[in-house]
Amino acid sequence: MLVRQNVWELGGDWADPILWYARAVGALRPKPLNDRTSWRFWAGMHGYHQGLWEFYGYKAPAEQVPAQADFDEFWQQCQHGSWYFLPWHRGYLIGFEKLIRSTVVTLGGPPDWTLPYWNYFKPGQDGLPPAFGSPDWPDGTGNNPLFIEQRWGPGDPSQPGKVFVPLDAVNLDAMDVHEFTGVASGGDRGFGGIDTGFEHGGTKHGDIESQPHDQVHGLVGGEKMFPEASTRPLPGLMSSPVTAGLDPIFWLHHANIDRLWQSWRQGDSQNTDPEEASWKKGPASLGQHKFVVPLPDGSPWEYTPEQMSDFAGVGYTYSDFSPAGAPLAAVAGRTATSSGAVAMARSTGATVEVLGANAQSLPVAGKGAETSVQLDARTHTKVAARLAAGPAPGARAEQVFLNLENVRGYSDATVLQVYLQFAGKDGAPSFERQVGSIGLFGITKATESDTGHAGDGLSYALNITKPYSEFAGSGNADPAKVGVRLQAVAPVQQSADVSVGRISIVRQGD
Amino acid sequence: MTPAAYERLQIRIPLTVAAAAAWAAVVALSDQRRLVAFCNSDVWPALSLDQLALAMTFYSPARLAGEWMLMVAAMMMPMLAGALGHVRARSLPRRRMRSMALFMIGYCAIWAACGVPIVLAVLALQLVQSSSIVTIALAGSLVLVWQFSPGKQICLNHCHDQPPLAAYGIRADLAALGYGVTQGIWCCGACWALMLVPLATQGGHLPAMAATSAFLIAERLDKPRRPAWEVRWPSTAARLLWFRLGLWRRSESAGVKAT
Ligand SMILES: [Cu+2]
Repeated sequence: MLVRQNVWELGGDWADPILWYARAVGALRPKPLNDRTSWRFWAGMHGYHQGLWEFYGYKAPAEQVPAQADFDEFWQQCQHGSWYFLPWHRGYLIGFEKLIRSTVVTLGGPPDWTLPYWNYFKPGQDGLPPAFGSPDWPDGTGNNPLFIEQRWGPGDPSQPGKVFVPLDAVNLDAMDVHEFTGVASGGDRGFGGIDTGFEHGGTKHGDIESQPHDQVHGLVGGEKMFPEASTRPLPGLMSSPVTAGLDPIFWLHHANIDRLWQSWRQGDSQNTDPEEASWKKGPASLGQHKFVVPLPDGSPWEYTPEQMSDFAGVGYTYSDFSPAGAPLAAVAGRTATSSGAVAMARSTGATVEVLGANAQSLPVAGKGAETSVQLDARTHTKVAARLAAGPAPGARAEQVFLNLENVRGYSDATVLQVYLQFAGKDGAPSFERQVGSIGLFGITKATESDTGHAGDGLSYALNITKPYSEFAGSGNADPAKVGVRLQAVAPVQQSADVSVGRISIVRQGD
Repeated sequence: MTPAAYERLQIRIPLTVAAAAAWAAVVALSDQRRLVAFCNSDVWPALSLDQLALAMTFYSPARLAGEWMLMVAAMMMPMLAGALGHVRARSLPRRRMRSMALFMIGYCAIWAACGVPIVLAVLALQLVQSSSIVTIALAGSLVLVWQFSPGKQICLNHCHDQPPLAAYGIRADLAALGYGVTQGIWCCGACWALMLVPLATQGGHLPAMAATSAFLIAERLDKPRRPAWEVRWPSTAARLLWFRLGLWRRSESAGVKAT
């Protein structure tokens, strides 16, 4: 069995699997753009942007993109904001791993090469693996293909090797969600995302996609000003779906997301993939684009979510399934208790209602922005009572979500920490809670209206049930208003025009 | 059923019921429909003011407007699920009905206003030529030019708009009404040319209306795309049909093997 290993635990910064990966990337990069087995062809299958590719030197202006038939069949397939996010990327990784392995073998390397994963949650492993941050090969010569200049976040942009994932901006909350798919109206979207058709840039990302997937993209890629090219910041390769596949670290990040999918399934017996035919058979069953990637010999390999869901049949496994790299004991215990319990009521048919909203569009620049959400008194009283009482037997648990709707702008790298502020009544001090973060991965495309999108931006739903209960249960809190503070991990450029169209609080329950 | 599919159904069921009622009314009235007769009347080639006045007394404008809106309701209702679902999801529960009603008022007002130029366009076609074949050819080329234009694609793209909507007070009312008006405008933009088809068809008006309606819905299934002059056809619906047929054949053959 092929086992994907933790990149930080291979036995050295330049352990053999990394060295062979670098050699293979080096061999695939010079291949023509329109060659189905070239590095850049594979990046284009995720997403493509002529201007950025040419500006960063990944395409010569005279160079031809793949012929129309290949372009339409293979390119611009990545699934975001969709319940196809996980299965599409799993097939994409499988095809990629096959290509790298066959290249490694051609170069004289081991036939069992596997793609390592980067588990930024594991203590001490939040930094970019050193081999990716060094411009040099281990022997000190330059031109290390794993090194990418366009990684600018979130530290000092003048030191592009010093990239890390700030752990206060990411979390594993999605692992506690027990449904794969959820609602589109403001409640929980489910671990894997909402039921959509083919979505190359959907606007409502599912839970594991929203956190940590989106954040890690922007936190690694960052952005930089190029006054000669644009008044707006330009994204690092990882920051945008249209360039992410060009960065060799992309694949290690997605291997981790893919690993988390299987961790989720193993973590609790309630956690299962969708049974609907429209998920299993993929968007082809809806009259839309099929999922297809080329094999190392260039022939197309079509796959369905159903095949991707059969983990025993995918041909690889991971060295460790614990989400944060902690011992698995706690997870095993959880499985034992939940397997005997009645399965949690599915959110199909749940009531989702707006509890309150802020008054107007909120521009976000510099360090962040603040606004307040006015609550509807009647609904708040109802929610407070339900939260205090707890769910009746067989009833759905009351949940509360903070929605950031119609988030628009031109800064895919931006990550905003989200805080709720509960004002005290009669001079009591207010208190503040961090309720998560949002990453604007894909925002540019979702903002432009002429490129196959409506231009209404992305929307986010953060589960705030816990802090909201605390607030609702406190006699000293002012129920009329809840403050919302967005704090940027890296400063947001004014020229990026980032704004949140509306912020609302939504309840989900019976 | 997935939670999101269930939510979509909550909007689609009442819309389907309303559309079905409108269709039933259209069919019931088809014997005495004035709108199509009006548009195709022999009076027009030899039009004089006297005759127009006569025609207007014979075909009451209120009656014509009613028939027009019935036709709009039958054809457009099935395409409003996305926008109405958006209004519902973004409104406070106690304001939902009111916001959706305001959306419909704005939307219908635009279609009512668009009815005048659309009916006049059909009349103009009648006036220019007496032969119905020439009318159909003229209307047909107008429809084709618009269908393949970037303008049409811009309208179609905007039909998917889901803007922020205010939650409280007069601003919430205005937002819902305004969303209805803008959706009405983009929808008229996307559909006006094809609406000429059933209006200009005298014999077989109902099948023409049904076919046009199906085509409009199929068009809406396609994703937004970059506006350009290009030959477009509802490819998603076509592929969907193809896939379903293929699947049906496969399951047939699997069943044969099993027995
Ligand atoms: Cu990604």
